[in-house]
Amino acid sequence: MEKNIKGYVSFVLHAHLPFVHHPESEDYLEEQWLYEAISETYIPLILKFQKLVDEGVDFRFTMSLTPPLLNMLDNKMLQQRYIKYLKKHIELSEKEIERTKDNPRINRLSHYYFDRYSNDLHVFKDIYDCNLISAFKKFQDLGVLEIIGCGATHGYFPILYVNEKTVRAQIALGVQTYNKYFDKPIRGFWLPECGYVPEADKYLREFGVQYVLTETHGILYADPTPIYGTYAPIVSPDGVVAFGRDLESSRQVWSSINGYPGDFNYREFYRDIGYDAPYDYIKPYIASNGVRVSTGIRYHRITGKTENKDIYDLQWAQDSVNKNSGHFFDCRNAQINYLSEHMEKPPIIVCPYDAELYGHWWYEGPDFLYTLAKKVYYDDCNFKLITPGEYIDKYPEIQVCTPCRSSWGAKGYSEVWLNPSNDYVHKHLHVAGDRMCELARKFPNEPKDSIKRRVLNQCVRELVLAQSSDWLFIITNGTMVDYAKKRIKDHIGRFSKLYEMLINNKEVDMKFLKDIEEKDCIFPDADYMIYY
Amino acid sequence: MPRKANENKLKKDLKNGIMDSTEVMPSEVKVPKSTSTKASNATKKAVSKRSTSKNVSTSADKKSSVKKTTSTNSKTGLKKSLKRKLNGKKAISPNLKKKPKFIPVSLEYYDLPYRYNKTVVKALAQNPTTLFVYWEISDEDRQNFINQYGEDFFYITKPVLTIHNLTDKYSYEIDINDFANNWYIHVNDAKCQYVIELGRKPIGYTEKVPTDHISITSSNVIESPNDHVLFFDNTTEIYFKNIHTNQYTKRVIKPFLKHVYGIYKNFNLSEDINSFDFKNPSSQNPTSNVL
Repeated sequence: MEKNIKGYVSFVLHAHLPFVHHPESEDYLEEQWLYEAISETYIPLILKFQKLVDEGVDFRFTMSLTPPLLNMLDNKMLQQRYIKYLKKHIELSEKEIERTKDNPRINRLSHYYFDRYSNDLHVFKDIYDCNLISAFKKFQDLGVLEIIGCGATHGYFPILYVNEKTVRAQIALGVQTYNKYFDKPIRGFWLPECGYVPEADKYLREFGVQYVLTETHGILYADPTPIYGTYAPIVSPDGVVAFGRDLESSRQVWSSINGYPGDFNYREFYRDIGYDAPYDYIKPYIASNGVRVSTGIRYHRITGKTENKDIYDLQWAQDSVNKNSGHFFDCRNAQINYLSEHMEKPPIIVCPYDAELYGHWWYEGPDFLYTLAKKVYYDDCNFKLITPGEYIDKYPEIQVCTPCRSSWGAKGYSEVWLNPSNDYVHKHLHVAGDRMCELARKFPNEPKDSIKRRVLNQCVRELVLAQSSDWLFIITNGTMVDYAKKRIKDHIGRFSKLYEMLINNKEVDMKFLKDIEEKDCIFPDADYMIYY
Repeated sequence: MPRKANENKLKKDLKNGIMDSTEVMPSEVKVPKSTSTKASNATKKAVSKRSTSKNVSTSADKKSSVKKTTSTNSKTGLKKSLKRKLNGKKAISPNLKKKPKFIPVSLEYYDLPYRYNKTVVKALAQNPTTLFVYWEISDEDRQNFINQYGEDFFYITKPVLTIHNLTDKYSYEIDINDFANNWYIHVNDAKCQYVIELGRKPIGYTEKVPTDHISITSSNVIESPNDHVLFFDNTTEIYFKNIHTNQYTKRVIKPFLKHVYGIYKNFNLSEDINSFDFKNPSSQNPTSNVL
């Protein structure tokens, strides 16, 4: 069927987790963020992409895979621990089949979880040989997925840029990591937290970045005003193209009041057998200190706004997926019909989301994307899915404007990462950044394989790990604050200790160096000369 | 046990030699919560456009969404690593054949230093009308002032921050106090460049300080973000760039204007940016809080 294409929709999924790697202990619950995200988001997305490819559907998605996530997905110890996690879940769901045998509705779900975790293990181990990066890369090579880069450790540029070299290094390490894992040259870059400052543009261009994503008002409040609002990209005076988040589609998915993930048929996030099952029974599968935590096995649907939760039904959930994707599809059609009358070129509706929303938080999210992609391909509509890179290839004539300093955090600027709960951190990050530059100037081009170079490169790792925006976010958010504060102290502490060794020309504590090299093993190829 | 008590106990243990840590604590100085006061009574032009209390409640008034699974294990993790440390020591005794896979080299404990003994003022933009400033004066510079103005220099003068708006070219001062090392400053004008100067003023008349303002140091230049659609006040032309050829095209704005309204009415600009229903991880939406 020949379609009358009047516009485009671009889904951008931002896949990110902070670097959590504790070889010293298996008791850190924070390490489970990765395992949950693999099982609930990354593998489901890979499977849905594969299904679309197998069915011959022409589709496009864009994903950022951040350097900490890539480093963790590539880490042998974490891969092994994920297999252990899966085996435990298979064992638990097997026990669940027995425990729930008297309730057919729940028992069906127990079987479903057993199949699902078993399949995860098969996909992870047998199909992809524990290497999920290669899975995403495969789809990029097939042309249906555009993978974009991100700052080294998700450092928040609007606060770091008082020392521009630290922003440059975040970009440099981000692009280097991208180049390590993917063959294609980087095109897009997810600004950590969509934090835009014009000062970063020259470094983005230096490392070959063509476009970034910003929050809605990053475009609307740009100077001069973009004539097409967020429905076309703009290009900054330094040559970086910026796309803005579409407000209408964002609300349909994100809104906690009437967003799709709140549909009553969808799986309830907060009811989990980790909390509901008898304590002695569930004890081997919860935290090692006996605290009840979620297991991922959940039997209830959202049902309504009360605590009374009905049993989850896979078919009903699928019905809601169809309903929601149909609604989204119709809304984009109407939106593009209207916009195309006001624009010289086809509008682009940019829909950026956290990838982990799809699957982890909104369990049916990957199904939604899959169903939508099929609808867009098969049904009569006025738009196509596109990647931002393809759009600028097709429509290279772009209005020149300076985007507005902004972020996608609450209230649109820097309050999430700079407020009375976490403002004490910035002084230390700035000083450590300045000290890193001082070290690079003082000890330039140390010979390869020298101990001093090893120390200097470890300084880079400690610095960028401390700069991760996640710790500041967690402190603001008020959950797991101890862990976030400890991570900041640890990385600043380790950095400072190495700095003192170098500046004071002290003998290097090799035991200490080896220990933290093993713990903080992100960016094995880090080169401190990026701070020179 | 409260976190602080736990840390103190660990420190004590280390000092008493219960553990032979190879770690050196970088600082014995406790980190007091820096005095963080709102500059709601800024003088001269600093008349609140938005209520200051709005700025104060940066995190407190947000919807909290606590993920049940997220109880941190760091406290217990610390204890465990301590246990492992001891176990690790046992493991290397000849009686035990099996060596643990990973033996922590030491129990690490760090405190953030209270100060770095540098003279510095740094300014950051929290939002279009709130700047955050932190500062520090080095011992050497403190001594220089004392040498120049007398032993009681820091008692007969008080600290002030001077806010220089470089874009609109005006300045004003706000009084601060010697207990603070950072401040949130309300500014009137978004999309302007500012420099914050740290200085001191004599308290009353004194012959020892024969000037009404002594500058200590100034901050980086910080630009407050824009907070509204600029539209086309004085603009008659806009530029397009072909990103493939790097060619620029100039176009007059007039023919576009009727469509600009059609486009921008979608954004409901009468809404304040704060009430935009953006829901993302940072807005603490229960359905999107990835952590």
